[in-house]
Amino acid sequence: MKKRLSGLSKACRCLLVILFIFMETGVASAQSPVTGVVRDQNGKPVAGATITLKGKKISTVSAEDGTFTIAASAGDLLQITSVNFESYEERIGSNGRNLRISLNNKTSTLNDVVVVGYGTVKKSDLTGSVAVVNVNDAKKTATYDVAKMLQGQVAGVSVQGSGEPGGYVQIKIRGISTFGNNSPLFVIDGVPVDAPFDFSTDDIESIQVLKDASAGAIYGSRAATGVIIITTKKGKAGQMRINFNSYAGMQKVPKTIPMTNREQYQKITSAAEQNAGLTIAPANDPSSPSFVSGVNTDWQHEALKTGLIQNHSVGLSGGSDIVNYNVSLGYFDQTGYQVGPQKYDRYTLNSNLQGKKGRLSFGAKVAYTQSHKGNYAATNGHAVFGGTVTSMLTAIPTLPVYDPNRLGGYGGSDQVINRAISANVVGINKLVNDYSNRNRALLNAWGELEIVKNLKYRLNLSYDRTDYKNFHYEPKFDMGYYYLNDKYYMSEQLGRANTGLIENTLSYLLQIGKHKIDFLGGMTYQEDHSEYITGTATDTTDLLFQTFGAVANANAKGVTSYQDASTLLSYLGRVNYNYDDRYLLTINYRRDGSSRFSPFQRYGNFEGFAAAWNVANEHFMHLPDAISSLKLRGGYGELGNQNFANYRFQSYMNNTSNYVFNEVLATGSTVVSVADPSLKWESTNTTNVAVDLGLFNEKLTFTAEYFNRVSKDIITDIPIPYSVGSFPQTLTTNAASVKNSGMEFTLTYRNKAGAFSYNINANAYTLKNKVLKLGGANNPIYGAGSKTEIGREVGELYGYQTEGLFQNAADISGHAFQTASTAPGDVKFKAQNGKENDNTYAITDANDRVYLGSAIPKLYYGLNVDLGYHNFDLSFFFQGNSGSKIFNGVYQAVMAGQYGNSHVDELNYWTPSNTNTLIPRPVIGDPNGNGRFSDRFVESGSYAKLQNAQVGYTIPASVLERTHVFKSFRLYISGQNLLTISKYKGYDPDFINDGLFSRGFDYGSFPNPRTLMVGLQVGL
Amino acid sequence: MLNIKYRILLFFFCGSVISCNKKLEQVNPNAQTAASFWKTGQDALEGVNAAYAPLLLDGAYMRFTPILLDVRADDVRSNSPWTAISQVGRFTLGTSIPDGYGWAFDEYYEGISRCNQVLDNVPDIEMDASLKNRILGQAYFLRGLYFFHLVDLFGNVALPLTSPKTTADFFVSQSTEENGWKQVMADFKQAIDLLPVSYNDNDVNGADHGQLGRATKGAAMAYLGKAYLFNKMFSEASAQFKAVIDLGVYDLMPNYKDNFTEAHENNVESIFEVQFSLTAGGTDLGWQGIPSSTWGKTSARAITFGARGFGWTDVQPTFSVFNEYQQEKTIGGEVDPRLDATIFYNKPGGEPMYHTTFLNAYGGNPADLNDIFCRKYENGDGNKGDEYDWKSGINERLMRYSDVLLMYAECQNELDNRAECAKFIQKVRTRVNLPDREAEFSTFTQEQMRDQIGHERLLEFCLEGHRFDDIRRWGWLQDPAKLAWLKQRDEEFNSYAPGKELYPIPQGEIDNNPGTKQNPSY
Repeated sequence: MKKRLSGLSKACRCLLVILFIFMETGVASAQSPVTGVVRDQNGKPVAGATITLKGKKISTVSAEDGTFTIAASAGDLLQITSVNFESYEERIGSNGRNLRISLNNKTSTLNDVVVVGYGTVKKSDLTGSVAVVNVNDAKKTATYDVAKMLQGQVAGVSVQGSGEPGGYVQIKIRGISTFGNNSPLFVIDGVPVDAPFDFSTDDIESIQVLKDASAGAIYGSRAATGVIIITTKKGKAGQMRINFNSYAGMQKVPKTIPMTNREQYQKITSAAEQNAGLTIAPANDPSSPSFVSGVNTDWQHEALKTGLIQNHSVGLSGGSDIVNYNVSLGYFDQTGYQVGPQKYDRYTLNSNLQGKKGRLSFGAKVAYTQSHKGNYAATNGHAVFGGTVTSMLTAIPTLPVYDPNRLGGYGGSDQVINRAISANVVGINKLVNDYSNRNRALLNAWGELEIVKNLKYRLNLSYDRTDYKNFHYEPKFDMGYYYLNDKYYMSEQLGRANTGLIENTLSYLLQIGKHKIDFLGGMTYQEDHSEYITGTATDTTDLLFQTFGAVANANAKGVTSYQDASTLLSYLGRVNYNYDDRYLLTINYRRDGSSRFSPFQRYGNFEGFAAAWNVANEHFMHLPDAISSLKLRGGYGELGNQNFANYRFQSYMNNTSNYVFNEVLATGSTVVSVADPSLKWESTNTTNVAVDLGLFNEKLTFTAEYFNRVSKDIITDIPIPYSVGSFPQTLTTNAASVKNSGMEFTLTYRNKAGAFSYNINANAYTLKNKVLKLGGANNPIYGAGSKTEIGREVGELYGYQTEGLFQNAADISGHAFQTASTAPGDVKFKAQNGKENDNTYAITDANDRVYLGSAIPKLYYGLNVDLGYHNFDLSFFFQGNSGSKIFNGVYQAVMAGQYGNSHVDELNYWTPSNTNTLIPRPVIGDPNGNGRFSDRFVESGSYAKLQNAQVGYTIPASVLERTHVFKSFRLYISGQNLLTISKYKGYDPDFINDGLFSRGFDYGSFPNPRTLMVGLQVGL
Repeated sequence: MLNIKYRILLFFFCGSVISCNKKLEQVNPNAQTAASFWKTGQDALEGVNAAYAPLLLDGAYMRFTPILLDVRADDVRSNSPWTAISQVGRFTLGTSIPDGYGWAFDEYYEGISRCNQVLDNVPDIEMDASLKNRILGQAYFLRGLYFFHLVDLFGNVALPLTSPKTTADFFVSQSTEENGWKQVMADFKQAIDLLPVSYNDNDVNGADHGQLGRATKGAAMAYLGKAYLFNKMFSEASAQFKAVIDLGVYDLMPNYKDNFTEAHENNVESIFEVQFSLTAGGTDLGWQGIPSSTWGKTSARAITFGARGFGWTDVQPTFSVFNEYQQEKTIGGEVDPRLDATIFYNKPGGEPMYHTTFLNAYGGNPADLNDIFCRKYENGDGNKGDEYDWKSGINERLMRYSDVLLMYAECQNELDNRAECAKFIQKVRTRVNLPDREAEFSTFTQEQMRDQIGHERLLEFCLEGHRFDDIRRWGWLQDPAKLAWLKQRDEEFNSYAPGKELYPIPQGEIDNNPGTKQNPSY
């Protein structure tokens, strides 16, 4: 990396030298001092307010007690600005002493500055679709991951998560626009980053979501899935402030699934064996000496515990006009609620420095993270079917948790006595040591020089490096049938990934009369490198020390490594035109070159434009007074995407396709995977129209947006015939095309009545998805219980329709043929060609499966209600969605009627004397395929959650002042995931999955826990 | 002043742009591009070695091909909890889960793709001509072998004969079973002309000299004969088997059991076998996927077929075959030694089993004590305590000389040379000390002889994947009396339905190769 970047760094060094040559220092002329004090409406001093002499380059900042001194003379116009307050102007009279300035709390957000790509823009000047997240609301969700924080907070942003500590969170903006990674681009303090979960959410100052092409276009090749811009806390001029935030709480699974106990289990399984013509397993047969009557394990009780979550951070900030700083340290720790040592902890450092000297502005950021994640469900040779959540449920009650007679000390199912393959998740969690450690450094430095007035050159350099270690050790153990490990297995992967980025931009602001034009042009270059080395060892003697040095047998060790690199070169340009704050126009252009494409397909050109009309500023119209703002805007743009693996346009020799002659390895080389040399850029075209309305001096604001987004040339692995002989049986190519459209509504209302204040923030959106093309022969793509085909949605649920149960032989012979073993009590699957009563017709997967519902909600919504009364505050956050269906894979597993444990619903299985039921007869081997994907397991996915409720108390300033230590002090208690309104039979309708072709399939995701916690926010 | 500033800026801006442009050319540091390969004899040899490698994959001989060949027949049953195995025996596989049979289908085509790469590229390489011929011969042989499996198990399949040049070439249309067999025969014929009789011959002087396990002329002839036999072309088949016999390099091993252990691999009876090894390669189980240097070269057959308490017992012999072994005693009045080589059972007098005996292992459990388990291709002779490490190094013998002898005998019966037939049947019997009944057999009618051949083949090849092929090609599934007899011998035949003698074409092939039709009954 160092060597590869040396050419660049040479160029950078020269540029920096030039920057310093250009540096000049401005000297202000001295004037007589004017003093004053800034207070808020309640008379509390306002610290850190900026006091500027309008028209002159003189400014200062109010001190902790609100006082300031500034060199000014009579007749000068003072402008006082501060975050959260309306700006205020006062002309200095002849006696410029002891000015008493009272600031009004801000209600209007029109003059808020919104961060967009490579710059900022006033909210009222926006032309594209940019959502500003209410960070205070979002931060009430206790999580390590900013993506989870956004759940329900922004129209158009969908989030699915799980309760696994450090687990993956799925986030999408405006649906699926690619068949790979649909996660948006995160930009933190101007640096595009992957894996934003590494960074502490405490450090976040603001979040903006760029949803459409015109807003995102400046990030071009990486913005097709949307952009989330995060700004972390910066220092402010004034005394040093210390902030301390802390919370700690307990987490539990909010729901228990009713499972059968020992006797019930034995009854069902014995019936299943008898129905299959088998003898009863000895453990379940009261006449056998091996009959189990003394064990009755409730696996949910044994494998679940109370998890702990805690987060602490301390931040220092301060500075002067010249330079300011913010340094914060954070610690997050979450233990799992499933028994075992699995947890996620993270230490973070974030420091920002910025300053200004004359015509040069500069800044630097250093962020460092160290995290550890203990992984569940990790075995090498032994699949934990459905993961540890499903396996916890299907574990049989006749299995003890502990068994000192078995190697490792955990209970196991016996192949002869129990006949069940049953994972002991407690044993697996505790015996298998599997973790991932990450160390990440994000470094960024920038300098901006105002070459002449309004012409700025900016150089931004960043380097982002992650070092990781994935470790796995699995000792020898005996947990019964199938879970028998007679060799230890150790694997250690050490890897690193780094990204170097250099950005040169030049901007110019031209103002002629009422015309205001912003020009931006630039070039960016990014280089990504990654590599890893993996060592493995396996042998018959357990290791006392889990190191490779301890492995004596050289033949027991193996090692492999991999490296890759990619580069991206882009040219970008943007023009913002503003006429009299009435007519606004934005034009974007970007040209990207990527190493991931052959020289013939390397570059993609992407452009966007948007326009807005501030109707409320129009002179010829007179809107009613109640309307404080009204804007119509619309835009169109194209974005590129190249978010897929490197080197895919060429086919490569695999040099390890080895065979054996005379017991000696013979090197084999061959092309294993076919490639498409004509791979090219994906592109996404978005049309966006919106209206922004503000009423009653912006107390009520409302935004409605419609978008239509067509993604084409989506790079995907299209299935190819097996007969090609390639592995995998897919070709990575530009194949698919998908359309997403939807409406988004956002409403905020804030008001104050005496000591009572309230703030309501609601959003709702719809999403429609339609597949336009799948490539190749446009064959459908099958997922888990799903099918994706042209003209329909991605990942629609798909399977058999059922028609009740067969009651007798006549019933079977009068119905379409299913299998030769179909018997009374089996499920009737519907033939879809009108032959459901024709026994000469055999139902088949090809002809008789149908769509069973949409996995994409029709409506998503979120509602934040914040209430304040004197020093108390109370907030509620609801989020949910409706109109989707879920394929409940967990229910499918616990209603299988095999050797695993069952849901209590299974007790109502069909027998000749219990015919009024829809639960089929249990039968080992399931010859009729009763457990196949069918509407039996499809459930409504609609839910509404009380995601968060919080009560806080802020100690009054008057009390705190007496301490002379505390500047602010707030205590709160909070509950999360307190209530879920849903008909779903699984643990949680908010579950994690692939988010794509199998997005409606719940395989047994870790349910989101219910959390109760207390927190403290202190300012010094 | 300003002008100079601009010029300097412009210089750096453009300078960095030009240097970055070159950076967009990134070369994969991990592997060679296909375009730069196929230049030398070594490349050619590595290419054909890779064509053997799919034989070791899960769907092939690591696990599922033996399952797919064995479990359907009347000598084998499965009570596996894994339906991909147990439904094979019951003829109840569906098409929604392609586990097992789908992997086999896919992996045979991976082998064919690798053969086609050799056949496309090696002819143009400037290299030793005789080595080139041997390499091409092996590629033809292996392609024929993979096609043989496809046509035999799946019927109507696509027959790709070259590597795809463009994506349009991905879609090779489904062929008929008849054309499939023609291709199998054509490939084996090509191979016969190009392959050496033995790699120990002096004129085999390349890097392949002395490498046991490579395809030979005898292997290609035996398989060509087998393909003819499966198509009832008895005189053509007979000629090939005769040619194999006349090569004079093969013989029966004195001890039948030596064909199924690690100790006597690539022996004089072995015509073609898949090479597994406990020592070559890495330690990971190389089930399937993109090959890695960490992959071992072991088989998972032993653990899958293994006896209860020593393996997963997904596959077991039936009592009907167990009983059939007892029908005829050896000259010394002992039980047929092939029974002890094939099945673990509660043998009177005690039978050693792994580090214990059958009686000790199951004495506490009457159900198991009276049960029988697979022994052939298991590591149960005391060298291992059990099979739970998943790894077996025993080579899978695909074509044994005794098979050639019995197939030759079968041809003679069909061609009405009963005496010749009887002679070769007895030859195989004599090795295991069964009484000489050559004279008696010579008097059999053709029909009687067919039944005798069925009996002899069953005992000789139990658990070697031949029985169901025999049942099918002899038409027993269409013969109500025979089918009833099979149902009596193995109740799994109760759920047999016409058409189920072929496996389903995996849905992935039907979905993605337009025009491909599913086999009837699926």
